[in-house]
Amino acid sequence: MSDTYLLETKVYIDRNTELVERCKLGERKAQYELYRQYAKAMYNVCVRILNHDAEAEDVLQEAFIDAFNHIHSFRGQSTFGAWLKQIVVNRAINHLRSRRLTLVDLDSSRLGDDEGPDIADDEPFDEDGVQYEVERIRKSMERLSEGYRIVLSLYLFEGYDHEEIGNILNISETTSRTQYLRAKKRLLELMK
Amino acid sequence: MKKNLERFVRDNREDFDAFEPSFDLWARIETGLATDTTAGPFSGPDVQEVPMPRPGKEKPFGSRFTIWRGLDWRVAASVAVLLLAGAFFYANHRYGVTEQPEVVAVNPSYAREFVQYTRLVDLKREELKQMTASNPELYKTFAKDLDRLERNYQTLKADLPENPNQEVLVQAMIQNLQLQIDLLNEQLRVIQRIKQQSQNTDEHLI
Repeated sequence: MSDTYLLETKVYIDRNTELVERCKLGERKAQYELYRQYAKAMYNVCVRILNHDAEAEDVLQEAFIDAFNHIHSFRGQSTFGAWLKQIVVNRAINHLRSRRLTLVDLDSSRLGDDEGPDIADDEPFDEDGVQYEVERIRKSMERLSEGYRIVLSLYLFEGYDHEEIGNILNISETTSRTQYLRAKKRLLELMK
Repeated sequence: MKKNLERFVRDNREDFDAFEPSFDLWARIETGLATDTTAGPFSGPDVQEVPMPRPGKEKPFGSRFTIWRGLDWRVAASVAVLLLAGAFFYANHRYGVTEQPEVVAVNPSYAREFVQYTRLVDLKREELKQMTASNPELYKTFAKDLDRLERNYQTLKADLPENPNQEVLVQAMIQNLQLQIDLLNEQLRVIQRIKQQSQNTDEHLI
């Protein structure tokens, strides 16, 4: 067991090491290679958070420039992809803040006010009757409020845990958790 | 057949990434890289000063990475050593590698049987010793019979490495151990009966 654990770590680190090293030397071709590998996935991260195609592209552009200019601070403690995603997510969140949409409201539990009746949190939503389709989930996500959409996409799509989301959004882990449950409930209502 | 959202998203994760950035984006990045070498504020996980509306409360980004950082190779090495040691002790307990190296070498599937039998023999011998503590004469007689079997067992064991038909020998050894256990059981039963009798006579006397 311990062997596979070590092995996996090694594989993770090794995958893009060569490209990253070449990027550190400022090689444009290596940069393009990493861009080609990650642009689409990262673009979709941006779109989900920002809910706006053109802005998503701007943020992605900034994020890549940011990443390549600071490639030296990437020391291979995570995958390059995870590192890049952090930059993209941070950039996107900062962009939202500069749009002066008050994410601070996430802290107060009143965020759900505009979301219709707030069903008791401990009552799990009945997921049995819901038909899942990629397109419907995406469309419904676009209709979620800002705060819900962000927590939902960070947790559900980007694989951050609540502690990490708390750090990214400056909220507590518990807030992230409850926001996520509410967001999910709201999403399922929208999908009906 | 309960489906849940998390599961569905996980299973169809790729399909959600449906949008493509426009074609000229790379060109824009390239020009950005050419002009913007010093760069503005960096929002990467490894830089401390990230512009945030509410500083101070901020923990460093990405606890996942901080955990990785703490978990350096020394920790990983000690975890590996512990796991290996644990696995060894488990295997040893189950198969008695150190107790019966010869047998394990011949056929590991017998090894477990051996461990169980030898342990049982030891246990019962100990019991016998305790029961006959008041009667050393009896113990001596019993021990004589047992030692005969035990000597037999040791000869078999000594023969094992050179013997061409090891399978048969191992089976003989197992049989020997079984005999020892049977004998011990019988002896214990005899002692029990003697004790009961003496108790009964005691009661009669009273």
